[in-house]
Amino acid sequence: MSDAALPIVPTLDVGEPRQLSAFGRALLRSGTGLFGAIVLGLIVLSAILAPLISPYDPTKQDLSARLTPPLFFGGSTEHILGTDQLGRDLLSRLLQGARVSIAVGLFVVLIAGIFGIAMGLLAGYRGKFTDSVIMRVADMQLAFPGILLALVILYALGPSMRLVIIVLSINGWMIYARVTRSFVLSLRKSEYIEAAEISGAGPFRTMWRHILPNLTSPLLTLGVLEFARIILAEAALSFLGYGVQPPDASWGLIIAQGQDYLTSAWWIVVIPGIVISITVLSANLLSSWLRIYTDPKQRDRQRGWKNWQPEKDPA
Amino acid sequence: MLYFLTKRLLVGLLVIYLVATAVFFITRVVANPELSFLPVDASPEQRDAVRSYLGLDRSLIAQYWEYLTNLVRLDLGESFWQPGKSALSIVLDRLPASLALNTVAIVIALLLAIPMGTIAALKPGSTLDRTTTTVSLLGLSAPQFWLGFMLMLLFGVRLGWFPTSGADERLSIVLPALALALPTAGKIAQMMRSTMIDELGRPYILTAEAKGITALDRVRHHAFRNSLVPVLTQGSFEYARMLAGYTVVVETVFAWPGVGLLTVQALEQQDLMLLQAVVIVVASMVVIVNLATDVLYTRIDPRIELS
Repeated sequence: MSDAALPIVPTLDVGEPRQLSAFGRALLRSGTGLFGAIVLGLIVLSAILAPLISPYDPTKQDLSARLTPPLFFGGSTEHILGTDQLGRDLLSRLLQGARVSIAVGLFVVLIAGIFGIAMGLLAGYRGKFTDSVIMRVADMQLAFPGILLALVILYALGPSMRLVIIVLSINGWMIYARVTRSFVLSLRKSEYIEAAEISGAGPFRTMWRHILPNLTSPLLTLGVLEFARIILAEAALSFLGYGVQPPDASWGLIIAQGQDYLTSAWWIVVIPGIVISITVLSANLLSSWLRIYTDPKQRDRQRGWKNWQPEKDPA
Repeated sequence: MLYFLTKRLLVGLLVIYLVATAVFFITRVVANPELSFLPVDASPEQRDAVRSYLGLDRSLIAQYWEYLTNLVRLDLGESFWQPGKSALSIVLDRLPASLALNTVAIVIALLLAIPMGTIAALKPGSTLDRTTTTVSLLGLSAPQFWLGFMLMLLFGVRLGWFPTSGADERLSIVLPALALALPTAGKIAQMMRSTMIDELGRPYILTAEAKGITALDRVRHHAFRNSLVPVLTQGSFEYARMLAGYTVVVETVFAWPGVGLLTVQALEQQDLMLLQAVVIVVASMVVIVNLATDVLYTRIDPRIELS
């Protein structure tokens, strides 16, 4: 068995880097995908570097400088994006908020993703009873009023960032399970899976080595898309006061605290919203580029329906 | 059909039962309902007194059983915040305002999204397509509550066209409905575009073209109608999602007196009875909307059979 696998190894070694560079070249050529990747990269980078590049302590109050407008709107270089009602530097608070949003987004995507993918593999591979139990639970959870229950849980247990991550993960695994399961169902019948099984691969090995690698691109696309959704959900929970607690900052919380000053100090509300929108937009752009790049059918569709050919029967 | 509906209805009831159970255990076991009646520094004796007054000192099983039997009789208990009023009646009083807001929002969203998606699909890759796609992406990337503030600043404060909060005037509904509608419109427009592109690539469109039917008529009479089926389904799921979540934020921003604002008020007042009623009513509404969607599906497209 191991002898039979050997000849494949060299081609794989040559193939993978080439694929990766093709991926990079395609990304460079695409306007929107590149934009999304760069902006998202910059935001993640500034979130990581926040303690180093942040001009002020995000919780430090300076009442003499309260409600300073941003530079170019009557402010000064001291506070480029202005200050809030307590004189805290808005840029520093946005950087801290970026840490919260990115961390929540990443953790939720990881936790919900891993659990959802495991459930989807299990449901698709085992079939029958296991499948119907898992998918029923997923269906029912999809019919739950998610945000409402999240609010109730956060209220009952006392809001914190960790709990936001847990609640949003519980709320988000179903989509991964569905996508994974549908792919597993279509792959299970394919010949190479049959070949793997005949040559003695157990269920775990089959899933890990043969099925999962084929799911990388759809799951990556989904993960980026979910990341965008989670950022919005975290912002909404924080805005309602059930996310990160003061004096810490999160994008939704900054807007909530600034809403009373909407007419006098618009920047406290407007700027964090722009930051959220740009982050979410970048993730959406990257995700839709990934979807089109990794799916040839989508690529054809993008070029136009005139060129679209119905799939030909291989026989 | 009847078999399918009964099955769906039973699943819906199961969902409501599970939601009710989840809320019961979260509010009874995790939270301390008696605290909403007491000062922060209440003594353990005072807490026990209130607990026994509320019936919280009995065994959990007994409480759960009573809760379920009351639920069957649609008795969701009395509000802590507004004593003497049943929690259910308070929620039902607020429900029409939320339904009105959501309905206006989904109508606006569809009216914006369907033309946008159709136009974009006519020439994929063109400047027009790229523009509409980017606009719809922008729409779905903005948080609803922030969009609400932006609309408030522009149309309420700067231009003074619409009232910015409450529901006293007829036009009060415009801004909150727009804040709810724009992100949804973005989502539906993208769906409309991709469905339309799929339809336009199908063989029957080629046949129509071969028969000499003009492009406008091919779109108008053939592709458009078929694209509407999945898009309208998506629309009604979006409606359910608005009800189950987004309204909370938007109603808070605009002080729109619906179920969403009531949720926030119940949380602030620590009124667990009211909170419980809100969640159960919203879950029921979501179940009803989903059921209605399934039925509508077969009405719009006779090819689809429920099974």
